[in-house]
Amino acid sequence: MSGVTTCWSCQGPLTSGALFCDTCGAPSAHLSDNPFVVFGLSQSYALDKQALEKTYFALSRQLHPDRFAAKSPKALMLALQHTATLNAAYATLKDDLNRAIYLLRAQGVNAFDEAGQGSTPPALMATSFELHEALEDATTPQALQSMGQEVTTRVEYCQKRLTQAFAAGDVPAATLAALELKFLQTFRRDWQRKTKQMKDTA
Amino acid sequence: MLQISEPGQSKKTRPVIGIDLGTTNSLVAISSDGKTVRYFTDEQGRVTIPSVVHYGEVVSVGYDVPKVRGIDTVRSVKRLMGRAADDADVLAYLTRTGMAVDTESEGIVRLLLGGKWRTPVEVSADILRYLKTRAEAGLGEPVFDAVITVPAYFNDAARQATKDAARLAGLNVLRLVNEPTAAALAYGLDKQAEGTFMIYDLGGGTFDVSILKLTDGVFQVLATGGDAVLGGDDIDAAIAEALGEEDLPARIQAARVLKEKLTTADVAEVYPFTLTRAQLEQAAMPYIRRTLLIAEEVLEDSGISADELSGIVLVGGSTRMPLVRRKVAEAFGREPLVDIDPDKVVAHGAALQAAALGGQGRADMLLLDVTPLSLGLETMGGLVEKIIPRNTPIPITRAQEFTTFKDGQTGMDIHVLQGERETVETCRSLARFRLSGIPPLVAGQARVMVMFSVDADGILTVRALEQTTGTEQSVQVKPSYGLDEAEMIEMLKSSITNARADVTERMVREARLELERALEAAQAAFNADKTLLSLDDQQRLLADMATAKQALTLSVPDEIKQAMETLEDAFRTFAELRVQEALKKAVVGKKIQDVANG
Ligand SMILES: [Zn+2]
Repeated sequence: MSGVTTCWSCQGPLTSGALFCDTCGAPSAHLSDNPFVVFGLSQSYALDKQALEKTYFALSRQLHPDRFAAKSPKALMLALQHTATLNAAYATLKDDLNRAIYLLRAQGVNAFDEAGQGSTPPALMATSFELHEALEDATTPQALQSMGQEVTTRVEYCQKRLTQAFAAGDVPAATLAALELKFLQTFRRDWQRKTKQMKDTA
Repeated sequence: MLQISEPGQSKKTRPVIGIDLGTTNSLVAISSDGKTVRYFTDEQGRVTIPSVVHYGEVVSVGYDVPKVRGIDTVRSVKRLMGRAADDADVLAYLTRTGMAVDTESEGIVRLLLGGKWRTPVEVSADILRYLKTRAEAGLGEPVFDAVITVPAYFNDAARQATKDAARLAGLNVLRLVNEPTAAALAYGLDKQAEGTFMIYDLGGGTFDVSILKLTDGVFQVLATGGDAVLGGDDIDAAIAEALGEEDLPARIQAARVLKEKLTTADVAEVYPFTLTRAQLEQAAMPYIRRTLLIAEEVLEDSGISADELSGIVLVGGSTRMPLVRRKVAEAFGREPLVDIDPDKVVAHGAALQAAALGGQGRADMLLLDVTPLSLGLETMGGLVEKIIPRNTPIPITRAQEFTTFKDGQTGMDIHVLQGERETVETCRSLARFRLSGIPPLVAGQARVMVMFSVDADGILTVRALEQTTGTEQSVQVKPSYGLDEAEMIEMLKSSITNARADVTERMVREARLELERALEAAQAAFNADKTLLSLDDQQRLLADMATAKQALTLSVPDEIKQAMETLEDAFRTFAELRVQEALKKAVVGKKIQDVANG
């Protein structure tokens, strides 16, 4: 059972953590910036994405500033702030890598912060070197296409490792997999750029 | 027993109009039920109004503009919104129209019209004022609130300029809605459509394309893109080019008529010019090809493949050209949908969204839109660090931490940019400001948090916060070549709605809305928990509510505020009772749970 605070609008009781006042419908004055709390989920990596989208739509329906456009400026301002928080939370949870990074940071892992950079594991350095070299050598559309497939395979493998590592509570393994996934996403953009260039010049 | 009305039920609703402020034509409409749409027409029953303004003895708009057009007539002014005077597109516009521009005016475009220098914002305000008057005549009551559509690809400056124009015209913008999103809304609600759609919107001066997913009344934009200066005007200019070397304005006028005629005919004649459909298509093809390239890129951004699309909806007058329909069908392997009049569909959607925002629309309907262009900051070496990437759902707030790079550095220049490229020169500069008062520390020690917030209209505010001392600088990003607040007030003074009235009107409005909110909250609390009170106390609170309600008709902001505070004071004891009751229940709940657990 959670605690009771008061609603800024009707001054009545408000369950702490609630997004809205049950009585008068005003958006609550505070919203957690923990994405899992915003969505009412337990803090774990495994997640039902369809259910997540459903909750996102349901919360948006209630919180979106469109619902408060012709209403009290104070309620509108809160709706705007909360929807911004909701959108950011959804972006964090929906994306496997963002969700993983959030959870790892919460565990005190700093490999994804400015300060923690430079701590790239040697195995990942080797992969990075290998893939960039292969991209440079790929000069035909066929070669690029097969590289694209390779990246997809690697991404899928990383996602699988991430899921397993989180399920086992293995933080170092999850960190490694997340770092590799992050690298692959950046690499995929380089690959896309080159593919596009080739298409444009053809 | 006293009859208690539902909160808000007895209140008379204010009309909210939907405006399609187009490059070539503008429309104004309203929906009173969120389903049917009423377009406001003129005495001749015409729905679309040419976006043309003439500055003569009087200011005239649309069909009222004199037939003989001289240098005091301006059209397609939307192309200039939010643009700097030295912008290449502005220069192209000036060459084409032969208009005079104030060269002394530091970045801001000012056109010589009716013997005065006028900004595009003022010209747009004149069109909006005309539309407002037309709606008021149709409704028989004053109108203050509006939803205005803008091209999805409009940047921050152009959006801000549109809001400024509305304010000059005495309109309060409840929301700027992206044109393709408005079209999707009209289409989706009308056809009960579900699935993923491409909206291809080619207007007079702008091209937009959006990919939207429609599910259970939620209109979710997945990706958007376009070209803010590509439209029917450019095709007209290309046709005019093909017509020979005689007088340019005559050729452009002929080009428009010929293009219209060739929608159905294979050959058309406007003395002394003749044009075949093949010639027209040859002239238009480069522009159409460009729209298709953009559409393909946006589709790729959305992560949807062409065969996953449920349909392609064509919007905008320029999509009447058979060439557009044919090429779109070829590129995406399906016949585009043209069920709703492409000229009216945006205004239709604007009216539906206006109804929703005014509380008369479908309760389950919701638009989830995105920002069309990436927003970022200049970093070392003239590079741009993206803080909010394009296609991010709005509203959104994102923060990024920066640090000093020199020992003892006490200030930091914040340069805000918009665009997709990686260097400062290739992006559009939105604003610059300086955060000063950083404590002198060793390089890399100070922590500066820069926060970007984009609101539901797609307008950006940037805050910079030095975290050890709490020094804060905040700017509503106004482009250096836009209008500042002082200039805005100056313009309001010279316009019909004067500045003081504008400010007071806003304050009264806000105070009333806040009082309405307090009344609704009081009523809801009363309905929920009145059993905690004696009958006498109930009567007393009802009387307090009735008194507060009367204050809604007052027009002094402080008096309205006072009435609200009195109401809240009157309800304080009741509120405390309600909280105590809830605490009691919570304790009981806890005990039961403890028993269950233990
Ligand atoms: Zn409340």
